[in-house]
This record gives sequence, C-alpha cells and structure tokens, in this order.
Amino acid sequence: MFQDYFANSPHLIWPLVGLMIFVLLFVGVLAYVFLGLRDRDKVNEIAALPLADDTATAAQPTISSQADGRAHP
Amino acid sequence: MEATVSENTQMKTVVYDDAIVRAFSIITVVWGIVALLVGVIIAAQLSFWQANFGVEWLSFGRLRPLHTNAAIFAFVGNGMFAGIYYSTQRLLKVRMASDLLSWANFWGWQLIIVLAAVTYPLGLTQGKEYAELIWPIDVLVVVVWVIFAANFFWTLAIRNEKNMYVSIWFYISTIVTIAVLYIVNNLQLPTSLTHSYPIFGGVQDALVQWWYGHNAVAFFLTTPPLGLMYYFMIKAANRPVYSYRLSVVHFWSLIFLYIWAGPHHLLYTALPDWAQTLGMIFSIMLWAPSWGGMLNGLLTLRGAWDKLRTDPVIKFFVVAVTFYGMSTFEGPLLSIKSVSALGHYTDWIIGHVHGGALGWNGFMTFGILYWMWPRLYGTKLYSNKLAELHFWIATIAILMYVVSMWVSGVSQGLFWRALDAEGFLKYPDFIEGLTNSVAMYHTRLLGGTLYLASAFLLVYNMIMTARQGKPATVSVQVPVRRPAGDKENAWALLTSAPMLFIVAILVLAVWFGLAGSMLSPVILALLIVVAVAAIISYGLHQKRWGHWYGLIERHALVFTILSLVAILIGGAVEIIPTILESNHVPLEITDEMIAENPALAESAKWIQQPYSPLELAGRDIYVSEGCYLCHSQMIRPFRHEVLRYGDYSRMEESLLDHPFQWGSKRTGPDLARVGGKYDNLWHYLHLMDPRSTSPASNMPTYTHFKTGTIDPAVVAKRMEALRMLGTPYTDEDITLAAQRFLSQGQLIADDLADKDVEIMPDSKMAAVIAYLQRLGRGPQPVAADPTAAALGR
Repeated sequence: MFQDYFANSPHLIWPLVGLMIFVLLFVGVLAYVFLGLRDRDKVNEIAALPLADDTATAAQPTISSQADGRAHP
Repeated sequence: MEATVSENTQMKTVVYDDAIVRAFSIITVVWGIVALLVGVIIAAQLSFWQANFGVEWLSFGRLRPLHTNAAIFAFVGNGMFAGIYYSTQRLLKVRMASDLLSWANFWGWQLIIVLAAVTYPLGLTQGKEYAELIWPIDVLVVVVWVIFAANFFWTLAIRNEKNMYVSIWFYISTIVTIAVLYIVNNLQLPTSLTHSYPIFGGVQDALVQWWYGHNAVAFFLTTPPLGLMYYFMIKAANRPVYSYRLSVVHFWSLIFLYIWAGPHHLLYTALPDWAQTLGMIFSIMLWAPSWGGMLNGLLTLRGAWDKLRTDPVIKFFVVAVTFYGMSTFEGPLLSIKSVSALGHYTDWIIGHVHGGALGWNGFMTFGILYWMWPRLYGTKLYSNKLAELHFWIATIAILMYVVSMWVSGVSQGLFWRALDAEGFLKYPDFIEGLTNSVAMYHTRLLGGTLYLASAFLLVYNMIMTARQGKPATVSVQVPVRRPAGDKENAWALLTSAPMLFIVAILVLAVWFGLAGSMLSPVILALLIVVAVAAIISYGLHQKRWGHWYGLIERHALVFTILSLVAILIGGAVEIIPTILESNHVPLEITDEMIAENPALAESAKWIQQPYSPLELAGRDIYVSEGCYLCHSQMIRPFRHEVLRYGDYSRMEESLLDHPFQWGSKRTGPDLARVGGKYDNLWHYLHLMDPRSTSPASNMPTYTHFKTGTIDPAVVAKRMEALRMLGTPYTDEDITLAAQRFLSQGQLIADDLADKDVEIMPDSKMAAVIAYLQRLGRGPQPVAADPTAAALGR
C-alpha cells in the first residue's frame, strides 16, 4: 500500500524531466561532435597530447632524464 | 614547484614530481597483496567454515568489508592516484602544484586504510556495503579527498598546456562525484566515537546506499581507469586515441547515465516501482557509452596489434579493456528485471563484480605499473617473461573465478525457484543450494589463490627493476603559456549565446512537460522558434559556436561545474522524490485515516514498531558482525520466495531501520520473517555451532556472543539518537530502557535455563536472539510477571 504514496507522487515528473534533459544534451553533444569538431588538425593535436610530452621538437617540450646519466627509455 | 626560467624567456624547465608516483606505486602493490590475501582467506572460509578459526575478529562478516575496501580503496585507489599523478603532470606539462599536498594525500590515504584494517576486524562498521568506515574515518576521508582535489585543481590552474585532454575530464568527474556521493551517503548521527546511525532509514537508506554503492563502482572503479586508459594505452601503443570525437560522446553520456543506475541493485524489492524501472532503463542505456569507450580503447591499437604478441603491457591493457566490455555487457543484462530475478542474491553477482575488479581494474593497474615503473627508475623492465607469466596465470585465475561463480550463481537461482508439479518448493531446504555450490567455491578459492600468487611475480619484477635502475628525475622544457581557456571569463562563457540557447531550450522542454493541455501548444511553438533561432545563430556564427565548446573544454572551472550539474541531475531526480514522499508516509495509521482511505487498513498491520532496547542492541550486533553480507531481509514478491520465507516484504516494515538491512547476497537464507520460526534454543545452538542445526552450513561460530555483554546505558543513548532521526520512542521508553533491556534478557535467559543452557540476560547472545525473534513480527514481551509487565509497552 505504501508503494501508492510513491506511485501517485507529484514529484514523479522530475525523472521524466531528467530524461528529457539527458536526451537534449546528448543531441547537443552529438551535434557538437559532428558539426563543431570539423577542424581535423585541431582534433588530431588534442588526440595526440599524451604522445606530445615525449616529443622533443622546437615547438614542443623536450625531455631529458637525469637518472644517473641513463637515457630515458 | 621546481621550475626555473631558462635563457629563452619563452621556455621554462619543469621537473615532474615522480617521487610521489613511486610511493603510490609501491603502496598499490603492498595493499594489492593484502586485499588479495584477505580475499583468499574469506574464499577459504566459504569453502571451509573452519577457516574462521573460531576467532571473532577473523570471521567472514568482519573480514569481508576489509577485503572489499582494501581492493577498492587501497589497491585500485592507490593505483589510481599513482596513474593520475603521473599522467596529470605530463598532460598539463607542469609539476603538481604542491608537494606538501601530494604527500598529505599519500599519508592521509594510507592512514585511512590502516584505520580501516584495524576497525573492521574489531566489528566497528556502519553496516553499509563499501561505506562501512565509522564516522571519524569518514571525516578523514573527506579531508584527504579535499586535499587531493585542491592539489589537482590548483595544478590545473597553473598548467602550461591550454587543452585539457580527455583523461583530465574523467579525473575531474571522479573528484566531484565521489565527493558528492561520499558525503550524502555518510550523513550520520554519531552516538559515540565509534558508532553512528545513518540519517536515512529504510527505503530512503536503501536508495541512497545503492546510489552510492553503484556509483562508487562507476566513479572510483570506472572513470579513473578510463582516464588512465586514455593516457597509458595510448603511450603503450604509441599512437593517438582512435577517435577523439567518440571520447567526447563517451565521457558526457557515461557520466550522465551512470548516476541513474543505482536502483538496479534493488529490483523487486520494496523500492518504489518507478525508481526500479528508471534504474533498469538507464542501466541498459549505459551499455552504449560503455562499449563506445571500450571500442575506442581497443581500436587505438589499430595497426599495432602485432605488439600484442610481444608486449606484456599491451596484453594486460587489451584483456583489461575486454573485461571492461564484458562487465559492462553483463551489468545491463543483470539489470533487466527478469534476469535480476534469477541472478540477484546469488554468486552470479560475485562473478560479475570480480570480472570487473580482477579483470578490468586489476589488469589496468598491472599494465600501468609494468609500463610506468621502469620509466620511474630510468631503466627497462627486469623481465618481460615474468610479466608474461604473470599475465597468463592471472588470466587463467580470473576465468576460474568468474566461470565458477557464474555456474554457482545460476545454479543457486534455479535451485531456489524450482517448483514441483504441485507448485511447491522442489528444494525446500536452503542448504541444498549451498552444498551444490561447494565444488564451485573450491574452484573460486583456487582461482583467487592463483591470482594472488601471480601478483608476487609483479612484486619480484618491480624489485629487480628498481634495483637495476635508480629513481629518475624527469625534466622537460615547456613553453611558458597561460592556459588560453582560463583567460576567458567564466561568466562570459556561461552566458554566451550557445549556452543561453541550450538553457532556453531545456527550460522550455521542461515547461512543456509540466504545462497543461492549454498552455503546452504555446510552449511547443516557442520551443520551435528558439530551436530555429539557435540553428540560424549557428549558421551565422559557425566558427564562434565551434570555438565555444573548445573554450569550455579548456576552462577547468566551467567544465567542472557542467560535470557536477550532469551528475547531480540523475541523483537528484531519483533521491529527492523518494525522500520527500517518505517524509509524508505516516508512522501510525489511525481509525480516522482508515475511514478516509480504507486501503490503509492493510498498511496498518505492516507498519514497523520501534525495537525494544534489547532488540535494538541485538540489531546493532547483527550490523557489527556483518550478518547482512550473507543474509538478506527482503522477501521478493515471487511465489518461490513467499513459500520459502513467508509473505513478501513491504516498504512499511523497515522504515525505522537505520541502517536498512535488505542485504545483497544470500549465502544463508533470508531472515525478514525468521522471528518465531524457531525457538530460542535453536537460535542459541545455531549461533554457537551452526552445523548442529544446519548440517553443511558454512556459517562461522559466534561463541563470543555467550560471554560478551552489553551496557544498557549505551542502548538508551542510542535510542535517544534514533528518536532524533524519527523513531517514535517516548520519554518513558528511554527512561525505562535499562530495565526493559534486562527484563527481556532475563526472559530469554530463563527460557534457555529451562533447557539446561545458561546465558546472562545482558549477554550479546540474549540480544541477538531477541532481535532475530523480533524479525517479521510486532513488539514482543519484555517482561514476564505482571509487575514487570507494567514496564512493557
């Protein structure tokens, strides 16, 4: 019987509202991914960030290991 | 921060703090061995009850929280910190903001783990799975987490890389979500330095606990390893992530969906149906982003699959991600109500959990350590062959563990529900399901032992690797660059055109849902107008719109706020309605109320009455001993459960339970209606030696209940605390608590004395028997003679 208190709750609209918000935001994220992220160079630059910290070029950071003269593997 | 400006003012030298990474890596392995060892011990206890050694602080109920907490917070937690400290510095091209905070994080976290390792065997627990730590340690957890967060966000603020890579997003979501979950689920009212009651009770407590419990899995065991996967797997494969676009969708959909899934742990319980349905639907939806992430990880190896043959690190990562995929397939599957009906309370869940813990978390951690450790010592891994051996033994061990638990779990589910031709239980004795699982328990023990043994290969490899190298100090030259995103004013970003359009559309969509039939067409028209205006604005200012999200991705504060909002929505819409409605549920139903609503007459007989002082003391012992880890108190509305245990459980029956004790596993039978089923002597014999009443039981003995005593004054204090939380104890109840406690204890002692058994009326044995005899029934007599009876209710 006490389930009825919850089944008839006026607050039950909020889960539906939450679901609606998710759907709208999801559509927004998809739209951004397909429409806003069209700059391939930019995307590639960000995607390669984990690799960049090992890359020693003029524009990028250089790495030196000071492990008692050993080279960083 | 050791940074100096070089001759070129555009560049500066950054020295990474890898000492903290080394410390976290070492302690990860130490606690990993402890967690696995305790796991093997409790697996042995389930196979052979003698492995409890008759010692109270080594019993299954006390060691199981130690195992789960050590695995989650000590092993995976320290591994997470090691990986985050290593990758964050390199992704942001800056040393951690404060060495002091880093080391405070390290030592504070280890202190928490040591305190947990001491308190759990002593029976000091809150009685909520994965949240068992007593309240002073909870406070310490919050302090240490804030230290970690402060250090992390400070580092974000001083970074030299403008972009925040996807790993950083996952770390941010972990930090903010764990903070919210931990604080809400641990809202307690202390009664002493070592004891407290949760402010939520019954169904509220159940929902909050599993909102926390599931999202501890989500935001402690999933999002951090995912962030680490997006860094370390890329490093190991030496190629960029397969799809950055997919990682954006993966991140936002995962954190938004995960937070809703908690109620799938409570299917067919007394939780409101709508919450169960929400939990199930969102769990199934979660499948998509989870597999998106898994595929993104695996496809990162495109063109580098040959490394799988030769590189043990890649092997660990690939199998880890595969287990992630398998677990995130199995989770939604188990969230389907009809599948849950079979699998819930069985060993299937244990198999599911360990596929994730040993396969996904364990192998990710091992892979990261094998990759990172040689670099921290400026050398190469001592032995790839040993790492390969570790990999193969551990893989076989996981398969033994998981498959045995699947077989055991499905068998148990089928045993419990089997009905004969007349529609009655085919296996009425619960123990039949357990004895059928013994062979699988032995297999699980063997698998766990193998996994533990294989971890020692890692230990040896790490020691030898460290011995052949020396602690490396890595310094990098980085361009001096203020993060461009942070130059943007946060307010300006939040009030920019794209954000305003999004908010307007959301508000109108919500309003449309709430509005009546007259107003809704107008709102719909407005919604369409705003949507068209947004499209036109995008068409006119494409570059600015595209740039906008890029700025948010770089703006740590705004990104954190949006992540927080995403996880709060799911939590709030589930928990707040339940709490609001629970507060309106009457604890007493009068004749007038029944006259107004005759249906309430049915509820009246189910509404829970407060426990007597002795019963409350017994309940606290029940919680302290971790009985809920093997015995549920929630009879689901199935014929086979009603036949076995009695009428199905109502929400009304546990509203006063702080904490709720619905349970999540049945190694033993459900106890929701065990009261009156057996006499006091049966309970005494069962607690002293479970085999004397239930041959083949694997339950530990509880002989210390006979000698241990309880101070009635403590119980009175606890009743006062419960009254503050809504339990309708009267002043008289509390004033007479000590007398009623002793008189009810004397009743039980006298009853046992008639059968030649002596116990003290204030013993733990009397209290636990009183509690068990109360379950599923109304108030029991607290005194025998008429004079004393006046003391009773």
